[in-house]
Amino acid sequence: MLRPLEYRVWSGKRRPRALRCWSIARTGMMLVFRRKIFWAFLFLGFINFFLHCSLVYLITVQVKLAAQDVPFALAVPDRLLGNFAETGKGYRDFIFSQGVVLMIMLGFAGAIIVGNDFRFRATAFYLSRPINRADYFLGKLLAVVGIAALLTVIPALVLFLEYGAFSESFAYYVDNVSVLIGIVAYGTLICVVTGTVLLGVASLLEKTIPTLIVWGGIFVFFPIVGNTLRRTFGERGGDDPWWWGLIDLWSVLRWTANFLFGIRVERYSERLPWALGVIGLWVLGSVLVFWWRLRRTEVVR
Amino acid sequence: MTANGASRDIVRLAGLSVHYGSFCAFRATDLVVPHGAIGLLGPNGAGKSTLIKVLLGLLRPRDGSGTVLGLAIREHSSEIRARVGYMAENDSFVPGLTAVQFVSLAGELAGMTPRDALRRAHEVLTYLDLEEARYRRVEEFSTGMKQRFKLAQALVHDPELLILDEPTNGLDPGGRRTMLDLIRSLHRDFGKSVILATHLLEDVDRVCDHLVLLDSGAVVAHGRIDELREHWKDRFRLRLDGDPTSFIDALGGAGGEVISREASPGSHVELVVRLPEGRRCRDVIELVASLGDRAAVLRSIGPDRERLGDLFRRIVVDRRAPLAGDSTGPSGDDGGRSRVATA
Repeated sequence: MLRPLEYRVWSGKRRPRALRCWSIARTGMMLVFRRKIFWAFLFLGFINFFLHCSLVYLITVQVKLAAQDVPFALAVPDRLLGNFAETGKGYRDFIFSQGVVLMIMLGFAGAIIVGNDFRFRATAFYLSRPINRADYFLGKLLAVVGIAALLTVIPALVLFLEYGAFSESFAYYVDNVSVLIGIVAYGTLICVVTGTVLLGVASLLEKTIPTLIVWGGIFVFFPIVGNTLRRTFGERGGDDPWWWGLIDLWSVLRWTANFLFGIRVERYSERLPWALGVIGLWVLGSVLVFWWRLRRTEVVR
Repeated sequence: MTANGASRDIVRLAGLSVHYGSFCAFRATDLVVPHGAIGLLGPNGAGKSTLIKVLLGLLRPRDGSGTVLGLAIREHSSEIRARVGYMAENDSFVPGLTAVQFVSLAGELAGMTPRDALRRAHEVLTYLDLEEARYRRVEEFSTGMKQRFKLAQALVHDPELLILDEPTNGLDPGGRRTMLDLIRSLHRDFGKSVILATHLLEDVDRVCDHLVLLDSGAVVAHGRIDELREHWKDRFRLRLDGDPTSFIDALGGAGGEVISREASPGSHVELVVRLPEGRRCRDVIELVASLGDRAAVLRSIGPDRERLGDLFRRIVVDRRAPLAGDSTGPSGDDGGRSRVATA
């Protein structure tokens, strides 16, 4: 006869606390990708990626053929030729173009990764474990950054590798280290900033629909308002009232991209301190909101 | 605990106080809790939750110092939680996770490797009779399953100390008995220290050997339950079958008195009597025998032991009586189902 399992002691070795953030992040990502709709969003995001893959292939072929003076039927416009090799604009624009799918995906993921924790008191569970609030924040941020990176920085890095692989030599990688740094820096900036803002919004609103509405407001309504105001005040003459663009967080992130990719555009250089200030305010505000919500969690009631 | 293991005190608090603004929520001049099963009792607002927060290192005391399992509360809050298993009163689940995923996550957060945590999650859920429900989502569980599941996530990292907040909340009598048996087994058979915070005095009576009584944010009594109980040499508890009137009259004539009278199931009557000085148990038996056919049949007799409800009332409620009835104590006379009443 089978006897019921007795209680057993455990005497394993404990991992460092830093690794516990990864457990939180992994659980968050698992909860998101358990839902089929996120695979659909990911697929949508990858359509653009596959188009860029084809474009990179065509460019590398055209560059090689042009070097041999062989005419190429599917000529890629000249303005695109340097985008992936010299300036990195192509990668910047690719990451920027992923914005729509990324924002929709993050809008839905916010409630699952963060909002539900506050709604169903899972935060009390986390904080009763041997981790602190910062570990919890980092774990959740890592989950959002991981999802955002799947659509932005990782595909961009794959494009970079692809370009080098289809080139004549590996010199592409050596000559374009600054582009690689730009991809990583811009991608990381986008992921961390949007992730932090998402944590703030989702922790405050908890449910999916309100989170989506406010998230949409930040990345759809604010840009429309910013553009409208800029156009309206611009038509009255005088200097371009670019500062209205500071309302649009996604565009502000793009302004910093030029700096990170080493692209020198005079007007964007002037705006950089303002852009960094706005990004800093968004991040600071979001962290404060998240912290405030987390501090209100009563582990023992 | 000291390095040589000489002391097995799980909690030591010295001059510790916790304030919310200017309000003092908890103070303990000197509290030493030894290894064992400890009942944490007190009316609402007595400071139980605050004390648990302090023990888990979630709340920094303003004054004083304290240790849990030998670790200083102020400096080692995270290490304390790694060695303590906490079962919350309220549900706090990550929605969407299955039981085994959730318990495994709890293990990983306590520092176990994912592989160890998963294996341990299976073991603990099986031990707690949730084997069949391991792959079900936690939010679909019944109340009894949820309580056992909460115990599983507190146990997964094999803690030395379990802090259980109302573990029998919402359970039917059978589920309650099972839960209490589990807790008692964890203490007696596997050497876990248990702090049981509850309103149910019978739960404490069944599981605990020590008691910490709180009232108005202060520790009003603590120690072994047997030592805290009043022992009366002149009081006896009798169980009679039939009409006890003639016995009560005869007892009065002999200088004794009936302190309480309860009707037991059937035709039994339970009496608590006080005998005159110098009289013993044998004298009661002789008194019943002398009444002959007029007397009720004496079914049992033994020394009267103070019940936990009476102990609570004596220490907490009577202490608060001058405060114009802002609290009522548990009756202690309702078969042990007494609850510490809301202040």
